[in-house]
Amino acid sequence: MENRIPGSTWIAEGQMVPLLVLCICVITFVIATWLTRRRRLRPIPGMVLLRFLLSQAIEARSRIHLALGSGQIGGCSTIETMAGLTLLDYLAKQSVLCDIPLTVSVADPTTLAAAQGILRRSVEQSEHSDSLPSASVHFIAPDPIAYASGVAHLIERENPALDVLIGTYGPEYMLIGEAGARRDVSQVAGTTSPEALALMYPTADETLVGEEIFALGSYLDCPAHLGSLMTEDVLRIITAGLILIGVLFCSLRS
Amino acid sequence: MRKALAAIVATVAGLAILIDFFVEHPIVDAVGGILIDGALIIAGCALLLGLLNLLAVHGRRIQERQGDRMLSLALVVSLLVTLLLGRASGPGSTSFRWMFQYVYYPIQATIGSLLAFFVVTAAYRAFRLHTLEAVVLTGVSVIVLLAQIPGSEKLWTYLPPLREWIFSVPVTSGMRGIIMGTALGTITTGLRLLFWVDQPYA
Repeated sequence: MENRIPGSTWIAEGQMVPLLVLCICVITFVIATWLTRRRRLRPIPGMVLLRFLLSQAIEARSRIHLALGSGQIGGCSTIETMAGLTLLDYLAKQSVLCDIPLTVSVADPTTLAAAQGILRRSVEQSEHSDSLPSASVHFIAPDPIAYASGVAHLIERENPALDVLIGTYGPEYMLIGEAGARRDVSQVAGTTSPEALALMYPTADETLVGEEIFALGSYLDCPAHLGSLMTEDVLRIITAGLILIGVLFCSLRS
Repeated sequence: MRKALAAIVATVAGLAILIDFFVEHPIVDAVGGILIDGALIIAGCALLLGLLNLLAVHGRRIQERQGDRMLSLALVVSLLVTLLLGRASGPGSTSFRWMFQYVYYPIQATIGSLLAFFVVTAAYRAFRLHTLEAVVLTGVSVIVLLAQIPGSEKLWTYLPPLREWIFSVPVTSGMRGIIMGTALGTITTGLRLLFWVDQPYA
């Protein structure tokens, strides 16, 4: 109660600026979603290769492995995990439609529940809802190093044709990346951690850098995601403009 | 109906937590606290689901006598021993801590130490690539490595300042760009969920 801004009713101290930023984001999002019907997406090398490798694996009915990283739902890494789950939603539908073997590895029980829910929903929504899903979710371990070791073993054991790693990763990524590189598995990896990105670059065929993982839905035939992608672009331009104005202002003043 | 109900629950819970972040009020704080406690309880229940998944996956491997069934057997036995020990003597007991201190942490440290060798092989692979990025990566790595050596200024006077510049300008700006992009992506993904544009839970 003592933290309220003087003159305001309930707003906590120091939260006025974040609230304003959120309001700007909401307005931009609503306008962008309303305006976006069809939009030409700029090609991202990681997305182009991912689509190509996915279609190749689907055509050949080869095993696809999706590792959702050591993140969970309900913590700091929720959004990265959600990005991985968006890809899982697409892969699960393809897996049911074309009978492609799909292996999903998770590190947290909350992610396990979400992944199993997505797989079950994709089976229910398909015409062959009585058929057994050819996809399976493996809970490895909540500890990042134990998770990476488990996934490395899974890659060596199941020998997938395509290995997609989207989610929360740290330096332990090397254990997974090297296991895939040793077996010559096509790999596409993406995360938001700069430390892990530096390690992903040499081992993966293509890397999705930072916010590119949040654009996955838009590139995987999910029109509902286009609005948020446009919002991201608009907000990025506004942020860059504000930084430039700040730099100019400080430079001229000094 | 089920889909709409899930969407309503998710949106109301999301908005309540968001309001709790901005507003200082006893009722709002209490609602936020209850929802966070609820999330923790659900996460606890999910752990049980994880345990069942582990037992199901590895139990099947043992039952079907697959090639690596001994590894699965070791995992199941370790899991049950840890579970029973924790249940019998408590998580703060000496025997339980002994297991972590003398079994789990050494194994973790051993695997962690392997990362250095993996980084070297990955770096070798990266430097072999015949692309502009690989050339830049190699060049920058060589400069930074040489500048780390004590007395590197004797090799070339500008080596330490060049290293400082690499860290403070290109590396920092690149990292900030990634962090800002991630923050924007986080906001838009959150809004997508709140506004029912995307319903992964339904």
